[in-house]
Amino acid sequence: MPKDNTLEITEDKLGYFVQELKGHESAEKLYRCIQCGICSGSCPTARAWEVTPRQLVRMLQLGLKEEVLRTEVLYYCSQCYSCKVRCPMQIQLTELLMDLRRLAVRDGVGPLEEQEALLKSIRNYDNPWMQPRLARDRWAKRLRIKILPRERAKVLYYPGCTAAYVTSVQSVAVNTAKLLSHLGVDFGILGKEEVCCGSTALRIGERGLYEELAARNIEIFNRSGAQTIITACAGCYGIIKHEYPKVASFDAEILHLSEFLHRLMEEGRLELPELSIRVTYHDPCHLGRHGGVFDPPRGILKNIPGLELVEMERNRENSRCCGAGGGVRTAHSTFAQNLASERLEEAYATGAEALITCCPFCENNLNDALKARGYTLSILDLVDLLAKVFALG
Amino acid sequence: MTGKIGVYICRCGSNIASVIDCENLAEYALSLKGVKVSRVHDYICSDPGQEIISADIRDKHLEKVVIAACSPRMHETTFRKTLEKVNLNGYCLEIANLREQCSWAHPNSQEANAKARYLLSSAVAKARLLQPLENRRVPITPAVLVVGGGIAGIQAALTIAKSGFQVYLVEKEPSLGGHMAQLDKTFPTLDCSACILTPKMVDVARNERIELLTYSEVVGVEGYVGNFKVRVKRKPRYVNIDKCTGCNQCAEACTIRNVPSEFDVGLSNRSAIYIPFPQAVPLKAVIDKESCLFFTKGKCKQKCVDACEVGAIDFQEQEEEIELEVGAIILATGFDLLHPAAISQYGYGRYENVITGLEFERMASPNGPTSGRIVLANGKEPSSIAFLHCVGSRDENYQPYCSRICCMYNTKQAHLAREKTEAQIYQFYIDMMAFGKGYQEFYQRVRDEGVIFTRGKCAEVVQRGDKLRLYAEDTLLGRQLQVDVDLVVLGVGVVPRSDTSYLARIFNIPQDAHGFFLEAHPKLRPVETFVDGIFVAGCCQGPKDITDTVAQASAAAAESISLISTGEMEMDGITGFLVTEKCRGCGFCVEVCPSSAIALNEMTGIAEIKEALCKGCGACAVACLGGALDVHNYTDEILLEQVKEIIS
Repeated sequence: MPKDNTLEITEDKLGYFVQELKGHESAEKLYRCIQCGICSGSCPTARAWEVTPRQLVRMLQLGLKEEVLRTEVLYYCSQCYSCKVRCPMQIQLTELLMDLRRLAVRDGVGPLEEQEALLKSIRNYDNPWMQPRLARDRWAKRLRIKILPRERAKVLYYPGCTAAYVTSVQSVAVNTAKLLSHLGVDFGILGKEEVCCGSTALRIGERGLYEELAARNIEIFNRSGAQTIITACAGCYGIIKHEYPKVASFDAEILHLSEFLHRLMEEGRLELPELSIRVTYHDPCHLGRHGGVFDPPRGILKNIPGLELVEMERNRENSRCCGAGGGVRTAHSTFAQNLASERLEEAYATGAEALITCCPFCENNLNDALKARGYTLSILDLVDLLAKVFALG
Repeated sequence: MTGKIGVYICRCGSNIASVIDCENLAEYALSLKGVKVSRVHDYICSDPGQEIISADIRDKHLEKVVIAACSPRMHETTFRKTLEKVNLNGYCLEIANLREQCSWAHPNSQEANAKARYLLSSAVAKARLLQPLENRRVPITPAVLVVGGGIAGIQAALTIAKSGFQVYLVEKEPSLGGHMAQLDKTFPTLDCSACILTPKMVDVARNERIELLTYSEVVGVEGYVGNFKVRVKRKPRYVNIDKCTGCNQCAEACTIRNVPSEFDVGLSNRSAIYIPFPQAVPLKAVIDKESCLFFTKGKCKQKCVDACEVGAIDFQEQEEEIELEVGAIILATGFDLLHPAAISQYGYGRYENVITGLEFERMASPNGPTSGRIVLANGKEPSSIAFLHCVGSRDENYQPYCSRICCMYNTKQAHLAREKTEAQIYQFYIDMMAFGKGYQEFYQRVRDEGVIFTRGKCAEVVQRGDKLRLYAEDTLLGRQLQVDVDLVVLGVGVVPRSDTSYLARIFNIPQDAHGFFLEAHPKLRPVETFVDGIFVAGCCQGPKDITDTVAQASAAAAESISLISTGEMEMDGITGFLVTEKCRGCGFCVEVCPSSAIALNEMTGIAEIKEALCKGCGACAVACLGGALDVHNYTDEILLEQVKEIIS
């Protein structure tokens, strides 16, 4: 018997997703979609999806619940925001994916098996890396950093789980602290009280868990008395800046380290020593397209005497995703590596000696791909580069 | 003198009746002072509706009429005529706006019904005090100003001149022609653009009823419909156009040769003294002061002066301002193309082989920088070309509207590329807007020629080796698509000219949400503006193709002719008036009058209203400290009576 492929539209289904996503901005402009496909054309992962992002929107309009709430459809998105910034109808497709995954989790469809372990780790240990709570500030052991709120400081540095726990990128946390000390900034950390920002949980559909983490962080942010919160992780930054205020209010200003340093530079409080090097800069999706921070990291780099900044073909708003975000690296590590590898190709083509980025998660993923590629290119976080410049060793 | 009042309430089908209880309102009307008759009708503006009013005026000897219906903007004139037909002065009419200001605005019927009573009772209160007035008649200046010398302005000017009236055609640039002069061929007939435009440009120059003012700009407008006074700045060409023969020897002699040509959109260079293009009208040289060494450095070998056999060059020429008197004005100021550098994913400005549609047009043109050859930046012929649709159009991040010309010019350019090269051609479109006469057939023809039409908005253009890689979704297949091409042509859309806001201020006309000049009604008054006597034509009113532009320009010409051909014009009788004994001659009214209709009489020292200029706006009545100024049928007495009626 040949399969009957007729699509039957039933009126009771049509409004399903609008009803389910009521009150969420993401679904507001759903019916405006003109099916131009720029979302799919811009998507770094769409080649793997069972349907294209554009088709997904059409299916949402028609309320095709069973066909949409499937892991093969929803769990390849790396949450890079390329679709959102280019959509001519300003549909918030990236947020929509987040919300759809929430429905998938609610219905027991998502998340993916590989992501379960990560969520379990967050639930049990407040971090996705299956590390004990007590080890969260181990990186800071010999640095004599103030612990808030027990002690007081104007600035709170929030390193996030990756820089705090993952040995290969722990230098980001260490060097940030060293740099802030070197510049005479009055700062502290939350020590063992810090918990995961919840970005990953939110992006793979565990909104409940995310909201719990966000509320805990906000409570301690407020208790810390800090006026400014600095993060050196793009993922933490985007979520704290744009999503936390929807959970609860907090008084402090949130800045990415690059913004903070750029501000010091503009005030004449950051004199950069010379370093002769040719670098290129990779915009992390959650710092650039989500966070809107494109210029500060570049401004700092350009002010290092002797440093030459060469842009990749795709940069700023058009920067290509490294492939790690949105739970993709956790669930589809080879796929994430392939995407990172494509990004490295662009970096390598610039002739740069180093690729600079501002996100430990990007760095981690790009580093793994680099090993496979064998390019002579080093990958450095901006703060690691600055540690070199200032010889903070 | 209250007079007998008739009240007529319109149901307007269900527009009013669905919210307002009209019968109840009619009954209420009878309780108001002076009301002798009160009736309800489905469409009071219809012939039978008007007949009821006429009959009552005749039979019941009504002296005032109150109509509760739609906005007076719709039918005030209609009903004034109804009154006048049965010998009642048209100003003995008052309209209560029950539709726009009541039933449409307030869906809650209880509140709406309460408001309807207030509106009606205050209208009746006003009617009691209305005075009969006479319309004024003022002469009209039988001439038209056309601003803009593109195809719209040219068409309008020629049409008006043909009917025997004087036209002043003001063009900002040194030559007529506008964008159409830059095009190679026009869709869908593939007429050579220059071949059909040039004769019209020459006709303008030769027409004795058209005074052509090129290199000139309107800097100020005063007056009102029928009697505008327009100030025009004439920029110095530094070339005596009576002497210049257009031989181009000066341009060839000029030492500065690297000024990007405006006409070739920067694809070629011109000299500091130049003739904009070979078919320019007038075919006269002009000196670009920003580039000419004589003006920038103060010293120059003046080779142009040596080369000019007729001694036409005059560095001493000064800017001058002239004043024109016209009865009507047509704005045909054209458009700009969206600058695509802002849409960073397409790489315009970064990749030299990403060009705009207009740049392609200049290349395709036989008088263009490549003499009609389609080439890459390195001079080689492309082996593949992609045309991108909707670049900045139908996009909330740039311009939300459809630019209406891009689908067809992209398709036409694909045809030209097919004709002139061996290249494989791709089109990336969202929806094909082939709405005009012969457009669908033309689109079909270009499909038949083997152009690959891909349904999908191009996501980005990235350099890959010596090719440009395009990313998109083939939305018909639902698959990711990558295509490598040599040349990318951006189908950029139409945007308001950068000086539209400035012009809107000068002519005191509103702009629409996107910045284009706003027409008085999108369907029924498409070439009028909200200022009587000022009309619009072409892309300054919104994106349109040449076909529609010419049609609209002809319509604007017809409207102007119908206005000025009457010789005189009837104007509303509602004007300001002065109680001379109360005026102390302070002059505040003179300052606030937007129509310059009040002056202080030098002999008496008190104000004097020039009735012909007064628009009855009431600004003077508000400003007057002594209560000497008031407006007929809007007197303080009447307004207070209305307020009293409402609050009682």
